[in-house]
Amino acid sequence: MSIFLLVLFFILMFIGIPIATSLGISVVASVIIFTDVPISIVIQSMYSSMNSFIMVAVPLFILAGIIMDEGGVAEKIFDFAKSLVGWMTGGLGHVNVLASLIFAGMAGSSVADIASTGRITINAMTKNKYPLEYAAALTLITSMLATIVPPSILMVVAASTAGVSIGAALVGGLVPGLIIALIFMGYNHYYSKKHNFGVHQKFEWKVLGREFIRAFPALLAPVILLAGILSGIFTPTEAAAIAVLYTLFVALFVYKGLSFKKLPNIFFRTANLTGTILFIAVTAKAASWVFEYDGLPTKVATFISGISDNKIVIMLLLFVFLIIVGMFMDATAAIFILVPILMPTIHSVGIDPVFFVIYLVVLLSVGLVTPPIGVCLYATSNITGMKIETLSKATLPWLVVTFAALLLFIFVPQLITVPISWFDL
Amino acid sequence: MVKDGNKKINPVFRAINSITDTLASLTAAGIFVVVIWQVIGRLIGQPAPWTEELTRFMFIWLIYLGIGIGFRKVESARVTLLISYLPKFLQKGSVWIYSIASIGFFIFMVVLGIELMSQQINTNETSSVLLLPMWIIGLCVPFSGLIGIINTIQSLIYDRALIEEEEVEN
Repeated sequence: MSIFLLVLFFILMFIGIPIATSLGISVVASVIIFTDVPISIVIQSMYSSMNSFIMVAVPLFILAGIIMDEGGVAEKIFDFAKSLVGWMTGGLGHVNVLASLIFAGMAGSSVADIASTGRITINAMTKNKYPLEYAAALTLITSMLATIVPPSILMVVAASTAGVSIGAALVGGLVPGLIIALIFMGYNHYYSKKHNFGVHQKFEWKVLGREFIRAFPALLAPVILLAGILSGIFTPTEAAAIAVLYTLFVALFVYKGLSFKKLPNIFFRTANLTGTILFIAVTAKAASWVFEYDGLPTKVATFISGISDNKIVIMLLLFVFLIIVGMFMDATAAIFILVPILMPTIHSVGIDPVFFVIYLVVLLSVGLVTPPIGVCLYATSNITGMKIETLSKATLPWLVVTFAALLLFIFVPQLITVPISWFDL
Repeated sequence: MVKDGNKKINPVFRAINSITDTLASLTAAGIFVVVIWQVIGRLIGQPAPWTEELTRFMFIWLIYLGIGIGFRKVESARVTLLISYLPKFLQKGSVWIYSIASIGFFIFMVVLGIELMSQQINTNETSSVLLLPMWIIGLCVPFSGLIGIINTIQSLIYDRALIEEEEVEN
């Protein structure tokens, strides 16, 4: 039954039917053909899937991101990043990484990162004599960061599905995000030096001070969000609402890029985007019911533990498996389907579930930048006018660097688990 | 064949769009206000237990409104890159495959959603804190199906080019 569902899902998805609808139809067909259970179970499962206060953080993170973007924050972030790291070798490449990292701390969506800071950095880099392929590939690969560092929408979805602390998973994404960003900067330095990219600019304390003050209100947003969660004063959902309140204030009264007139549209876009993203979650939840009915989690656990009981071997297997899944399946759907299937294995092998959730999201974020369904790949191709094939090719070296970074976490999981243990989450 | 998105939208569609869009905006704003209310209530030592329940219910409505609305401009994520590799007859029919599958699933949501609601009405199911009749929440499923059907039809009339577009939308 599970195989039938998956095969039908892929066929429907690849003939152009929306991912969520493809999943929904496959679930209905599987329940009708293989079970005697009334079909109403599908609607019951879809309806009850989102009855969760913790998941309310998702629309609030989306709202905060839209407000910041509308408020004209992207340019301030770019100018600040440029004054801080623009003087180094491969300066604007570093700016690209840093601007994405800062933006990632405000918005939980990788596509949003490309549309706002990505557009500015690509323009600046090409004007500064970086090849378009290089600028576009770097923008594309750094967009992953928004899915990894808090407030990541996918992290909320994954932690909520796995039943682990959302606060811990969100905060736990910070260190891997920083490490991956540093590795990107290292490779950018090496590559830019080798090919003599860019025209160097001077470092000036005065400019850095001025840009820091201009960007400060925006930079405070992720700090407020993290401090709220880490202090334990707020739940992640409440911290998200506080972040919305703060970003509203900054966008309306400090940067003044937003007016009260635009608010209804911003709320509308939030609803629209929430529905679009979570429709997949809703039907994927119904699909996960089918997999559980079919006993798939136990079968998978038995299969995997039959191969090895060594944590590293299992994580390496999951590494390959999840990268492939991420390439062909939407990340939200993959989380809702795979988390219930893989959790029994994770528990039985003794892998820390919070570590696993964070690692799962990091691995699935690779699928956002790879063909055939990487949404960020398409977004970057849209804003640069580059062909998907050319862009994918230009991104290959970066993917190799990313894989090296991701393997690091398998061998040194403490990079993720130790910082979380510092806080009572 | 209508290929552009500039055709004047029928007043009936416009009225429906205006109602659903206003509802969606109000629900998103409502969630924000209620969660802030919850925080303030707790900080001043007067926690409001209804806020958690109301937020959850508004969240469910928000998602289902967003699901239906997302089909007006063909925004629901899909993979169209591989369509060009399909046999010619499937390529030509891709708009219809998209529309029939989408509308078909929405009809399923309307029919089974009404069944879910009738169950909630028959059993007098109410929420635990606000004592709201649960069919008010269950209503979002058939409602979402209905606006999904209306919006898919609108996209067929006014934005067919978006359905034909060869890219992943999200």
